[in-house]
Amino acid sequence: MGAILMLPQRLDALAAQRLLADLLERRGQPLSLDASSVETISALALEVVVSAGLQWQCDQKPICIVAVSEGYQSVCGTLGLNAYQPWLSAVEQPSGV
Amino acid sequence: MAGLDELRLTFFQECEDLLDRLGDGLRELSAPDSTHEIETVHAVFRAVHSIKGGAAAFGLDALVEFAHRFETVLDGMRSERLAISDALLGVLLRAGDVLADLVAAAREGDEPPFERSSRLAAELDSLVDQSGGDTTSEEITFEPLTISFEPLADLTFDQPVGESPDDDRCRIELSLKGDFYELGHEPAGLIRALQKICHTEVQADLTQIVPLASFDPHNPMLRWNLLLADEPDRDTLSTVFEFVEDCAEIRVMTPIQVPDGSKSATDELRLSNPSEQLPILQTFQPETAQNLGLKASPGLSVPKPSAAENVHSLPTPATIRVNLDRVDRLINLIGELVIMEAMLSQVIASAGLQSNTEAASGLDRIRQLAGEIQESVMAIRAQPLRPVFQRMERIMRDVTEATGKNARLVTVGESTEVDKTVIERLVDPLTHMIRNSVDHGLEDADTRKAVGKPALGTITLSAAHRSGRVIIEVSDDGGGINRSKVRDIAESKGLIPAGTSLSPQEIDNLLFLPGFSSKTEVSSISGRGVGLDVVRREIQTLGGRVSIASVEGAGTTFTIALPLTLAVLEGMILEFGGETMVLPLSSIVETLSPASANIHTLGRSGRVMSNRGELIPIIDLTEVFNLPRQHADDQCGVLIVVEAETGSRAALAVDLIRDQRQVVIKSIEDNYGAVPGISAATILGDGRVALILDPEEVVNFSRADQQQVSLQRKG
Repeated sequence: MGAILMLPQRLDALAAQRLLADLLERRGQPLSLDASSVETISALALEVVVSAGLQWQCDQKPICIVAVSEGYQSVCGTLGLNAYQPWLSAVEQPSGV
Repeated sequence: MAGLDELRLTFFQECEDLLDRLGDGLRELSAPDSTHEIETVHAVFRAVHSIKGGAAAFGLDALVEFAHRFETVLDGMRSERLAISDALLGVLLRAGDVLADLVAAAREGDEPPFERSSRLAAELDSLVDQSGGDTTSEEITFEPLTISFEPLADLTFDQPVGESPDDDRCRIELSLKGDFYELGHEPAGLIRALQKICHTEVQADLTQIVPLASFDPHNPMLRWNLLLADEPDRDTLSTVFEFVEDCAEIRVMTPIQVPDGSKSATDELRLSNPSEQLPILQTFQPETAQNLGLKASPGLSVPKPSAAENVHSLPTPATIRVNLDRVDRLINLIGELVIMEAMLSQVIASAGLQSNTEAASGLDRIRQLAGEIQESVMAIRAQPLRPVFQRMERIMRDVTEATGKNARLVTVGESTEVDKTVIERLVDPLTHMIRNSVDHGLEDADTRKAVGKPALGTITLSAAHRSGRVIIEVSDDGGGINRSKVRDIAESKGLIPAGTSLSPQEIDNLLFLPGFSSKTEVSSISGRGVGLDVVRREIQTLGGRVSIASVEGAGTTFTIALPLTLAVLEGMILEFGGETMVLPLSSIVETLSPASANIHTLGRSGRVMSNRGELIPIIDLTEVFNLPRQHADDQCGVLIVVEAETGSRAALAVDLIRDQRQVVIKSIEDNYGAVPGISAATILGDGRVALILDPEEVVNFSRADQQQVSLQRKG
């Protein structure tokens, strides 16, 4: 199994830029994201995660989210994203509220 | 990303404007002749909502919580679930005060006033309960901006993912611009706000998102299609999206009823046009849809502009926020220009050039231009007194609540403009005077009724420009000053010798003596250890004067006369003891060159001048400042009669009056420290520094002599 990246408690828009850098550093290797500690997450940070999913798919490397917190899951639900695979398109994972 | 501190600062600056709008709206609604325009309620609602939105972005929970409750009541008024009444408006006015306190606490990083806000929150909640509304909290994470609706010519759009063309739900496409996140917004907040309004299906559109290697965090590509079960009305959508119009594309597509009754077409609105404001709604006329064979959706139909809307849609002058330091720097530079002009003028005069030479006329033009520039720059610092007057309304509410007295505040001339520094420093003196007027000036309701006055007392706060000064008056319609009581108190406190003969005006002025308090018990309202002497001192430091006039049974009026600016003053250039000094023109009553027969010796060294039957003590400025005397002891070059705050006069003896002109005030306290008898300094045309006299202090130096003279005169 590849690297595990622990997502920080507070993933606001500013932290999204750091996350982008962290993810780019791990490019080319299998990656597991642990979102179990996330309390708040900006939609921009989720977009970074989505973008990472697309990149890993392009690179044909496995990527997954291994654990999620309630806060993380709640924001994903609000934004219509799949908490464990946010990079799946809306067609693939319809989400109602 | 923009610094959070900067955004926070901007938020609090906006809060000031929003609180002003809130106050204006509530006052308009509370006016006796108010027709309770719904647009005014909307304006108040928007102000509170904007504060809430911005506060949420900065995690100011106490502020958000209270604003939400406040907003819920206003929403009840908007939807006519709550009838507007005096009692309701009373609660809203006090809620406005608490909101201002919460903003101030948040700005200063202080503990929020929980006790008061909890009490008001409970009152607001009970109002909501009456209206059958909901007070539950919601999470909103956006900040105040404006909104516009603009119709689009084309009624087609690319088919987004996951939507059937037959879907008759209202659809909102939300895409974000580069600065959306930088401004502290979050789409989740918008979506949650929509979900509170009606059932909303959220579809994330990932089609534009690129792989990480090309990802640009400043260009967010995650978009949403929001499908709403119900068709929200215009106001509701405005409420949700009004803060993000500049930084998000919001396209609202609502199904439209075509003539045969089926919903087969879509009306589209775009809620994102930063260049246009809300009144643009009025340009979206129903005929636009009619021309296309469509009928506009009822929920989004355009209301006819009300009278209030017409007023609000009047073009307002464009404004910019400028750091005060920059304006002050400009003022200092203009001051230097005035000094240089004076110097040049003196050089030309010394060179003996005729006034009709090109150099002299050119200098005249420069002088005029410098004057105009100076006036223009001063106008930048000039601010209307409205914010101070608004604060006094709040003080009034507090003091009437605390004293149990029934009184109202009438304000006149609140658009009168004064230098910003003066405005800021007026708050404390006016606060004390308003408290004093209610607490000491107004009688209780029973007494008022007994003498035939209305039970509701009136305090009038007025401002006007008069003779190049700002005159502010605080008057009450109370019982007037009880002079025998004032006199007794002054005697008992040893402020005046028992049995002193005093005129009514002199008795009134005893109120300004340090240590005077007419209340036998310390009042929590006006008796806070700050007497009217402090008020007078503060007004004096602003270069102003405060006087008092009272009519028994009819009331008392305090009058404050202030200079328009603290940057320049009109002064008389004096010479004495080999020095040149400036005496503010505002303090001068007259100048004269008395005959020696009118000068009388008093005691060993005192002298008085008889002038129109009055004996005026002479103060020799060379003695006051310990300068070498330029003339014989018994001779006076020129006497300048000045009047002190108390109304007593003194004649300042100087060698000669050299000129009368406007001088630029330069503080010496900052760099040198306070000098008794001197208020500031200036630079003269020849480059020399001249001190500006403080006539009040100079007169006080010889107060003891004055009292003797006064007694002798009356005796």
